[in-house]
Amino acid sequence: MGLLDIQETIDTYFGRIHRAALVLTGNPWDADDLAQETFVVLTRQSERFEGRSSVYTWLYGIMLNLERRERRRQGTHRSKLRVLWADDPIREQTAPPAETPIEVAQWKRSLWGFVAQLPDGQRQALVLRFSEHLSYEEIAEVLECPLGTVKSRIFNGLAGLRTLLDSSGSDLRLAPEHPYEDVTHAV
Amino acid sequence: MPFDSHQPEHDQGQASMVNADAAPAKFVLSELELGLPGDLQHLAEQLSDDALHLSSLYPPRASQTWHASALQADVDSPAGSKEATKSLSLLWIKRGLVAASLIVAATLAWQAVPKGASPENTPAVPTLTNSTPSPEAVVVDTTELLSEETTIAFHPAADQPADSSRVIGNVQTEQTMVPAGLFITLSGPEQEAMLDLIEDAKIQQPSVSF
Repeated sequence: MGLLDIQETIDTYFGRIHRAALVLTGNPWDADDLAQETFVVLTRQSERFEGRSSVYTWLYGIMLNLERRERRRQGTHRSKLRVLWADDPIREQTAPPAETPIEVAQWKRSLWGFVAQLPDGQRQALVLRFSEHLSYEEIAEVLECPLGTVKSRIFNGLAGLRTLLDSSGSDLRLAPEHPYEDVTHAV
Repeated sequence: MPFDSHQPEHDQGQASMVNADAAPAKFVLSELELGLPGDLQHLAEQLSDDALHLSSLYPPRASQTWHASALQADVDSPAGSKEATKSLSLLWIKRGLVAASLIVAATLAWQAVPKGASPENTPAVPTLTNSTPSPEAVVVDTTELLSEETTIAFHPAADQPADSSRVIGNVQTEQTMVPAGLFITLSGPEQEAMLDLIEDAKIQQPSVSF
């Protein structure tokens, strides 16, 4: 299987990829799917790994691409549903729309819930830096951009995050005792 | 502000910003090269703490114990292999070629049909306004030639609607008619010549287009 030992790679990096997927998606179910899909891609494309980069930077690159694609797909799907349901006031009053993403309250209350509102580049840079603790060089490698761009994205991302927090007030709720029992819908 | 796992129990009803003094010191980022202001530095540390907290709350579930062999089996399965994808593409290409050849054959067959056989190809066909036979249609009594009961309705423009008076816009056209008495007195070749003349006359009928 080329340069990679798939089983060893899974054992070593599944937890890290899952954590990054969790802070990006906001719920453990989507995080599971995203992490699994990342390793499926790894297995299918392992022969493409040439050893020029670290395995985990390569994995993060796969995961971020998958996440961006899924996010775009969901965005398109939601916008279509919004158009379809625009004239349905009853449904709006009785239940959250079906296109509403499920997010766990803990995530929504955390800073990562706010990070999700940032542009893609800043969001990914913040995840790689502050959740995964990658170096700037590694982040530049994953995002395939210059080092200066990485620093700029991180700085602007943090500044944007502060602005979001300032404008949001303090309507954040208490975390549930059992994490899987509390599922909230993003508004 | 995001949750703070270090908040006391009685204070968790109201989320609050983690101030600089109360910020957890278990993870300190070396962000000095970025020159982050103090508040951004605390946000960065809070992000790290939140990520750790979330990952401890929602670890990968036990059911997700992944094995390379299972993954490899999935990849090697016909649905996931490159050969399967390739054969599927070939199948669709074959289907496309068959469909295209059928369309071409149908088009050629349609074009091969004599133009006169199609009502649409009749020149100067006006709008059909009445499908009932025209009272002016020529009825040839051929009792002398055929059996006693047989009558043949003859219309000079047999493949046209029977209405002899058509309305096209505001223009009315009169259809060429042959008196029956004259027609039956003609010999066979003369009748054919007459029919040819009638067909030629039809082509010259006026038409109006808008």
